[in-house]
Amino acid sequence: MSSEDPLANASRGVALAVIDYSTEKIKQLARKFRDKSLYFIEDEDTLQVVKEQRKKGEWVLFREYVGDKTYHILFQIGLTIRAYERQGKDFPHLRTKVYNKYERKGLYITNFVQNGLFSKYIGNLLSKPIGVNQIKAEIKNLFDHIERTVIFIKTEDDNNIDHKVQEILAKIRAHSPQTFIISSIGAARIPCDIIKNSVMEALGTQYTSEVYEAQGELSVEEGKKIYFLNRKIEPI
Amino acid sequence: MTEKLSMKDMPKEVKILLLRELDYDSDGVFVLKNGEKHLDKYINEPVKVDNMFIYPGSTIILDNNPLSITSFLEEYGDVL
Repeated sequence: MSSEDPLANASRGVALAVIDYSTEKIKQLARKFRDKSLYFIEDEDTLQVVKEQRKKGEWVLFREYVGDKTYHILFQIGLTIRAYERQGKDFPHLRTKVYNKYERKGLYITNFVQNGLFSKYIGNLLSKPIGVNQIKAEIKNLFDHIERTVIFIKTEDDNNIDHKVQEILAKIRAHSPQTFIISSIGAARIPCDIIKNSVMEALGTQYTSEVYEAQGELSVEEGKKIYFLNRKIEPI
Repeated sequence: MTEKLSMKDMPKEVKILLLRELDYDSDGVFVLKNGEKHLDKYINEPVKVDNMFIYPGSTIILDNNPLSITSFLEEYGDVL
């Protein structure tokens, strides 16, 4: 096809404005579409962001351990929201769509990934003397029951410390998770410390804790503090 | 690989004519199929003419948002 052909240019996503949208040209586009040599998209940026997430190491690692398609989608959406956040883009509609389809659990998973908890979690997991199958089982169990194994502390929890401590203790005592995660960002790190200390005191020797801290990329206020409460492995 | 055509600068009238060529239609806002609002199969929401993703084969018309596009790639692989 000649480079002078405006349809050829259009199919490369170039110089749309020069296309004469005559009836014949529209039929030509439809023919190329039916021949499966052309697809249409409104905003290429959306596709670009989504495709970039599928190249990330976190995603490739996650895919190695988890086969569930729903978790695949939610994981990638968590990465996409993080990318939007870094670009300073607003994304409330995306959260609403996630909630409408996957409910509260979907938002938990996307938050978990968006906040970089998966890479820290897998690091914590890999440091334990367990095999690949158990790692897979642990990750699946975490995602299956994420609402009872992860808690996101907010700044306003500063006024609600005792309630939050009791909420965490109730979840841990009811389900005895291998790992319980307490996560915070920015100013929420202060109540997070207090809550974690109270929880550990109440749990006694059943759990040990490891902390992960990261500086914010743009400001100190974006710094993260994540506690992994690991159930002690009982000797056989 | 199938080539892509951005519809960002395409006049709405052209989009509607194109939809008709593909056996769909529009009420000026939403994509219609057999007179009913066409729903994005992944998010179960009506697709607007000004935010479409249209893929050939069995003609998949989706809302162009990250959740639908990610779901599409998860089902069909890296075809885009």
